Amino acid sequence: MPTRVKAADTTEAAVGSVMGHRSLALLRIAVGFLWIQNADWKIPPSFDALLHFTRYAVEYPVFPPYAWLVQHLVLPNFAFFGWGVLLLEAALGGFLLVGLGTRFWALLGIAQTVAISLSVLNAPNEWHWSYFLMLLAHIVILGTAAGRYAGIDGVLRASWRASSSRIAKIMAWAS
Amino acid sequence: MINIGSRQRAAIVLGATAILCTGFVLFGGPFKLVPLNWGAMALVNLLLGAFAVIAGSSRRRGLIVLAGALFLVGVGVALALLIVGTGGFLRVSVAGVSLWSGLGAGLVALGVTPDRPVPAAAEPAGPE
Repeated sequence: MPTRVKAADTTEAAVGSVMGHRSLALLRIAVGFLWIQNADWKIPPSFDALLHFTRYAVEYPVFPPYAWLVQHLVLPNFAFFGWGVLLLEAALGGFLLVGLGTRFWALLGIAQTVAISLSVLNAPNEWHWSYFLMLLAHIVILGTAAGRYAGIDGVLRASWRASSSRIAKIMAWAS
Repeated sequence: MINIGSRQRAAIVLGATAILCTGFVLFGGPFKLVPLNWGAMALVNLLLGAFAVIAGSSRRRGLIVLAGALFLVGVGVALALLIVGTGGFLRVSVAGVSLWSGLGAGLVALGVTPDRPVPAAAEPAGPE
């Protein structure tokens, strides 16, 4: 019965699509909460806890050039670095949660995950798969443009694409 | 065509998100996904969330932009208090700053992005 088989395939594809889209939205929202929750312990002005973990890059080096960079550039200017991390991670959490400019923020999330991994991967009591999974989650969000599912990108992308303004074109690219 | 309904719905969802996230003040440990503190920041979060829901329920984009702008003003005030070095009267948490930055930018984007232009109807073919 080709017709029945075709109908079943179509239904399965539709259900798979809905489930897939919801799963991607759930992943994006969960990663947003990950950054929001973890931005909270970067407390200015001393950033004590962040300083503790950043020193791991030098004490338990993963990639010697990165360890050198942390030792000679980041640690001597830690207040500036701390504020940069706070602002970046706060923005990552907020924007991934609502799904605005998602591909752009996923790219920054990948970069920040790599930086964190290079700091703590060899430190004692760290589970390396935490960082591998974090990296993979951002790659999936980037590759699937997950903000288009239950996110602001999905609501506004068509308008951005139809607009000739520069900001709209940037937002269409970022979404 | 994207109608205004989808934007209104999105604004309502963002407002509801703020209201629901206020509930995290009741949680502790790993399930406190948005570590808000009891205090003025949680109260402001609740009020701004309610305002965003009202703005989304209305048919006025200006109110949606205003709701987003108020969240972003809150981000500015909270960051200023963090720079001063205290949580201040808002009992500021960095997680709250994070939440407000996303909600504020999202609401502003919903309010200011122009509608997609409706394609003109195909012209009837003229005489050859």
